[in-house]
Order: sequence, then structure tokens, then C-alpha cells
Amino acid sequence: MALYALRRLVIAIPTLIGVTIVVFLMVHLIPGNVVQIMLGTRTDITPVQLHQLYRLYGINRPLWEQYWLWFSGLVRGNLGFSLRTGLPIAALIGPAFVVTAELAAGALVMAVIVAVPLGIVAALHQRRILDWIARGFALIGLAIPNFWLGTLLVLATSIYLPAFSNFNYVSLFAHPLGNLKDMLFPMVALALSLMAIITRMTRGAVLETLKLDHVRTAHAKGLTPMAVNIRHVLRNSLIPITTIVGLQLGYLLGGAIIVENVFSLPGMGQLVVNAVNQRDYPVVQSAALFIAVVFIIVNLVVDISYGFINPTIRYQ
Amino acid sequence: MKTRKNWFAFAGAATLLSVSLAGCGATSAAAGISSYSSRVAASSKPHRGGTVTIAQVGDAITLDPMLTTDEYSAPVEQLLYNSLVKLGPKGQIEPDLASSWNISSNGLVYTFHLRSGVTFHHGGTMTAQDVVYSFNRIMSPKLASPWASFFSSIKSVSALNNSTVQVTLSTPNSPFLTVVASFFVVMNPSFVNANKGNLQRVEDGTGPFILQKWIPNQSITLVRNPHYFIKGEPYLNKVVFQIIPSSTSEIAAFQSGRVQFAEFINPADYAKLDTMARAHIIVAQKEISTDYHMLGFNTKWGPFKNPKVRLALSYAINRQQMLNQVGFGQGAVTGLITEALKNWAIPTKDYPSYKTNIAKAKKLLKEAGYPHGFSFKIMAPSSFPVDESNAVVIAQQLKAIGVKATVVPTEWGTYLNNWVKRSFESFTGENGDWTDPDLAMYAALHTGGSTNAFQFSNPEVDKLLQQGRTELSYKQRYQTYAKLQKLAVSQAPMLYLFASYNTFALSPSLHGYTYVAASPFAGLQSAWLGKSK
Repeated sequence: MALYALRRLVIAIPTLIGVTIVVFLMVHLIPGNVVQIMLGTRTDITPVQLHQLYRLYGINRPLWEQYWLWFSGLVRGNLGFSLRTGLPIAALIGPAFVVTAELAAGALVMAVIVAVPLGIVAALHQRRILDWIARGFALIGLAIPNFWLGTLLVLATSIYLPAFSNFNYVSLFAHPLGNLKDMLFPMVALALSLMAIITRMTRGAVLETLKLDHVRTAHAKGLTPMAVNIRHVLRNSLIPITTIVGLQLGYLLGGAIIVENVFSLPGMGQLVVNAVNQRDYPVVQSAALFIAVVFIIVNLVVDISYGFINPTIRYQ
Repeated sequence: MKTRKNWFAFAGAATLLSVSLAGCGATSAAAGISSYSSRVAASSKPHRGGTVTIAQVGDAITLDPMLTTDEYSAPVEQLLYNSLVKLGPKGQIEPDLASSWNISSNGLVYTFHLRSGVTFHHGGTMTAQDVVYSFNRIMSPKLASPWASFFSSIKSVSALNNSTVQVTLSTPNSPFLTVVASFFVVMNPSFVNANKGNLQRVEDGTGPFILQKWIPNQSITLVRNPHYFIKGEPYLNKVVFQIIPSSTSEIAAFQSGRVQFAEFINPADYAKLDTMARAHIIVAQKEISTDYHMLGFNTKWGPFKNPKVRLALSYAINRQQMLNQVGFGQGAVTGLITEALKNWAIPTKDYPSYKTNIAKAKKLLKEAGYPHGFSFKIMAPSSFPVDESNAVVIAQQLKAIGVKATVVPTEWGTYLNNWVKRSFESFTGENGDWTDPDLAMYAALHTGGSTNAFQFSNPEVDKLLQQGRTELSYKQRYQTYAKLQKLAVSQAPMLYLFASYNTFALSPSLHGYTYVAASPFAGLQSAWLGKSK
């Protein structure tokens, strides 16, 4: 299996090089550049000064040269520097990713804890009252956009639970309790729609499994319904659930821009959107590449986890 | 009672349109510059201590004032640095690091006498040599300061002794002191050199507060400067700029008491702010902006080559209606200079084309050779809701004279790229006057000016612009700019629409704050925290 993982990582390299080219071209081919945005429509400037600025930011060089500059830096492990702030990009991505990762992981754990039992209960009580409740909940969760829920949570907490109203992000490592207090509501805002998706997925997968022969056999050999449901039904339904959870995690780690915005969390979404608006090319490029790497790793972990869920799966 | 008030604030904030909107809009629009919630009686005496948290939508990009063009860096810099002179609440020039100054009778030689005993944050006394160094820095091609062109009239700067600086200009430049107040700061040469000229993330100013900590995209913390040159000031121990990207969340932060000061510029927020002001959660101070919303023409494109067509469009639109619909009635219709520059703006009733007159507009179109109207496109910046909505309302209003306008919402970077290349037929956006009529207007309206995206050229306008920047007496300059404002409206390289209010929300416990249009955040140096009732 180690060999399998290694091979997958090696195959990922051409993908990543492709990502660097696509991302680079995309950010450079959209109109507008960092100098134009810095100057806006009201800065009185002479052509000579303008030329100086273009030289200062290195954007008057040919595209291939700019690409090579960035790419050769990457190979040497240097993500580059932000054009606007001059900060090393690694120092920008690091803290932003910690925020996003915590938010994503928290929301997902919350969603799974609620959604998987709910999905199972719904499936076991198919077309009965509990099923209707679970499905109703899922429908509501899908229908409520997280920006609306987030805004309401911000307003409601600021009035009724001022202690939980945040805007002053503190790191998980420095102040674990303060951090969890601040992250609780953003996680809820993000978790609701995830819960809905996972509930529906679990219900569907469990319903499929319930119809299989080995479940009937398990019942026939006298196992308690609880044992059948946990050991034979749930376990065999886990593959599609794991797949969807993995995919969602991949997306979430790219940054949940709207929830981050509403709750003032300095995460990846904010970082990338601000950089795009500023045309801070190196930040956009390196952040997008970083997200691509994370996505590939998450997918790999999901693939490997299939083998633990279902030992009949072989990696070659 | 408390919970009821809270509930009102909550309901007001949660719904976009509240009943308050119509009522408040009308009164404040009529009153012009107004502060609509009377301050809690400022009975408390200034006293030291406390932290004020300022909510800001975005993070500062740099702390180098000579390189700053964005709106989130300037507020922080206003508390860190000083210039030789500053602008007062009425736009008058006041002493800052220079305690006095003389101007030679030909308007060419400025002599500044420096305040004594001013120290930099990291130690060392400020001298005349530091001032000379700072002038050279902002003019240096190596720094490529976007503000360098404002200092291009300087011929030489020299230190006469340790506390006197003499600036000699090559041509008289009447806004020079305003330029110094608005774009110049005094820096410490040894600190600049120690940092290899890179002051993006560090500072060594002379201002009332000192940079303590900057966490990117989260917060900037400043602490009190104990050696500040005004005795006793500042009163606050700490000022924190907290980044809160959503304005709804900013309002909520006031509600929970996490934030004591913020500026709001989106008219859509004003209804909520009104509600909160009435519930005494905030004190709202409304100030008319120096910026105005406008529709700019490409005067080298088709029908817009003809001034009559542009004037026809000016007669056809209804600016007050636009202000009411798009700006929620929160602002004032304006010409080339907004009411914020009270010393310069002339009343809008002096502009004949500001009274909507469809018949007159049609007649002008006919004279220009477009009796059946024409079609054109309006480029509208999609990240600026007011400007985008203005385009839509203009397109609607122009139907009355048979002119068909198509709105093209455009992303900001793309918009700027088109603007630089002058590749548009017309566009909506904001323009401004900064602190002196010459500053923005010269580059925007002079033939070949760098921000003259309109490609507008009119010899009479050029002449008046030149006159305005060299005349020395205020009275003469006023006459010149009054003429220029009328001409700019009748020639209409752009249609000036309205200026919005900027609303400053203050916690009722914050006392002693004075608003100055040129540097609204500098007023915090004399503010203190009292007990809120």
C-alpha cells in the first residue's frame, strides 16, 4: 500500500505542473494588473512614473519569464512574495490554512455526528414518521443558504449571546477555549448543508444495503437488530459516505469564502479572493497550487481508507 | 426595556428596508451636513486609559504613507505619522510639526519653523534635516511614489538650521500647503535606511500612537505614544483596527460592544445605523463625502464628441430621483465640487441643466443631429453597488428622450484596464476633489491630464485650471473655480450626479472625537472613553 501511495503521489506531479500553468495563465490573462489597481482612477501620474512602477513590480517582463521566475522558486521550495504587501506567501497561507482547516474539520465532524445516525434512522424507518422528519430536516438544510444562516447567527449572537459574538479571531493553539467559542457558530453555519447532504447520502446507501442477501442472512442466524445494523449494514454503506465526505472536505479546505466573510475569519477563501481583487498574482498562484496539493492528498487518503472499510479492496 | 430596544435593533438590521428609511432620508438630505443623533452630553472630562476597537472592512496594504493609495492603510497611518501642517475641521491650514511658517510675497519660498522636542517612536529628536530627507524621499524616482507629481513644483528643499526648513518652488502653486498637509509625512532617515527603504510593515513616525502588532487580515494594534508632542494626548492607551469584512457583522459588533468606531460608506447600511442610533447603541455622525458619483463620457466617441449631446443627457436625467432611489436619499446632488469643500463649492441651483427638462434635451439632440436618439453602452463597476445602480437608473431615465443605454457590469480590474486604455463609450464611477479643487481636477480635466479618461479638451477650461493653481488670494481663486464649475457642468465631460454621506458610527462612551474630512481617523488622538449610560 505504501507503494500505491507513492505511485499516486508521483502521478500527481504532472497534474500539479499542469495546475501551475493553468493558474498562471488564468490570473495573467484576465484584464487589469496590480499597478492599475493600486493607482485606481484618481492618481495623477506621469508616463515615466508608470514605467517605474511596472518595473518595480516586474510585470513588464514577458509572461514566460514571469512564469519561470515563479516556477523555479517553487522547485526550490519558495512560494514567492506578495506584490502588494511584500510578505512571504508561505507566511500568509500558513495561518489562513489553519483557520480554514479547523473550520472545515469542525463543520464536517459536526455534520457527520448528526447526519450519519439520522440517515440510518431514516432508512430503518423508511416512509414512517422518523423518516419524514429526517428528510424534512435535510430539505431545510439544503434550502437554507449558509450566508443567510451565518448573517442571522452573527446578529442573534451579538444580541443574545454577546460572549459568543466573535470578530476577534484567536489561534486554536494560543487560546483553545476562546478559539472554539469563536468557531462554534461558523462551524454550525457551514455544517447545516453538509448535514443535509450526508443525511440523504447515508439514508440512500443504507436502504441499498438493507436489501442485500447478507443482511437477511445475518438476521436469520439470530443476531440482534442492533448488531446487524452496525456491523453489517452501516459498515457496508460506508464507501459512498466516505466518498462524499472526502469530496466535501476537499472543497471546504479551499476556503469557505462566504462564511469566512460573515464571521470575519482570516481563512483561505478571504486570502484568495482579496488577492484576485488586488491582482496580487504570486499570492493567487501559490495559494491555488497549495489548494490543489491539499485536494490531491485528501483524495489519496480517501482512496486508502476504502481498504480499511472493505478489506476485499486491493491496491495495485 | 433593554431587550425591547435590542429587539428593534435586531429587526432593523435583519430587514433591509425599515420604516425609518423614508423619514430620515428626507430630513438629512435637506439639512446637508448634519449629525442626526445629538451626542450624549459630553460632561465627562478627558481622562487616560482604555482601548478603542475600530472595525474596518479590509486590511491595510502598507504602512508607508508615501506609497499608500488604498482606503484601509490611510486610517492607520493618520495615527502614526505627522506632516508639517494639517487641515482643520473647516479646511483651514493648522500647525502640526511646524509651529509656524511664512510664504514669500511671490508665493515661491515657504519657510517652516519646526516645533521643538518632537521625538520619533523609536527614539531620536526630529530635526530640519529629517524634513529635507522626507521631501527628497517622496520626490525620488527610486521610490516611485504615486503622489510625487503633486510635489513636482518643488525646486529645492534645504535646512536653514536645526529647526527651520525652506522649500523653494519653481512656479507658484497655491494648493502647496494643502498638498503638504495631505500627502507628506516626516520620517526618520536612519530608520528608513536601517530597513533598506522598505516601510511596508514597520514605522517610526512622530504620531500619537505607535505600531505594536500587525496580524495580517486580522488586526493592527497601536499603543499610546507617551512622548507625543501635545501634552496629555492621546488619552487612549490602545487603538485596535479589527478587520471585519462584512458591514452587517460590523454593525453586530457595535451591538455586542466589541467595537467603538467605524466608518460606513454603503448607503444600504444607513437604515440599520439610523435604527441603532435611535436605540442609543451608537452615535452616528454623517458627513458628506468629497467624492461624487458620476457618468463619464468618452468625448472622442460618436455622439459624445458633441457637447450638445452631453448637455442634452444632463437635462434628461433626474439627479434627485437618482439620489433617492440609489443613494437612499442619503447625500446631496452635486456639481464638480461637493459640499464637503464648503469654501469652494457653488450651489447646484446655479446649474441650468440640473432642472430636468425633457423638451430642452430633445431640442439639443435635434440640433446635434440626433433627432431620433442613439444607443450607447455604460461600463459599470460591479463591485460598487451605487455606481452600478446609477447606470441602471440613467439607462431608464434616458428612455424619455429616445436614447438607449445598455449597462455593462464590469469587474473592477477589467474596468480599470478599459479605463486606462480609454476603451469605453461611457462609464459610471466615483471621482473626487480631495482637499483642494486643484488636486484632482487638474489631472482629470486638463487636456492630456493623466486621469482625464474622458479625453476632454477645452481651451477655456485649461486656462482656468492653470489660473486656479497659480493665483495666490483665496478670493481670486474662488472666482476662478466658480467659473470653472459652471463651465465644467455645461461642457459636461461627465455628468456629476450626487455625493453620498460617509457615516461614522461611534460608541456612546467615546467622547471628544472631532471629524476632519481630510483625515477622519486622526481625530481619535483627542478622544477618550467615558462611562456610557
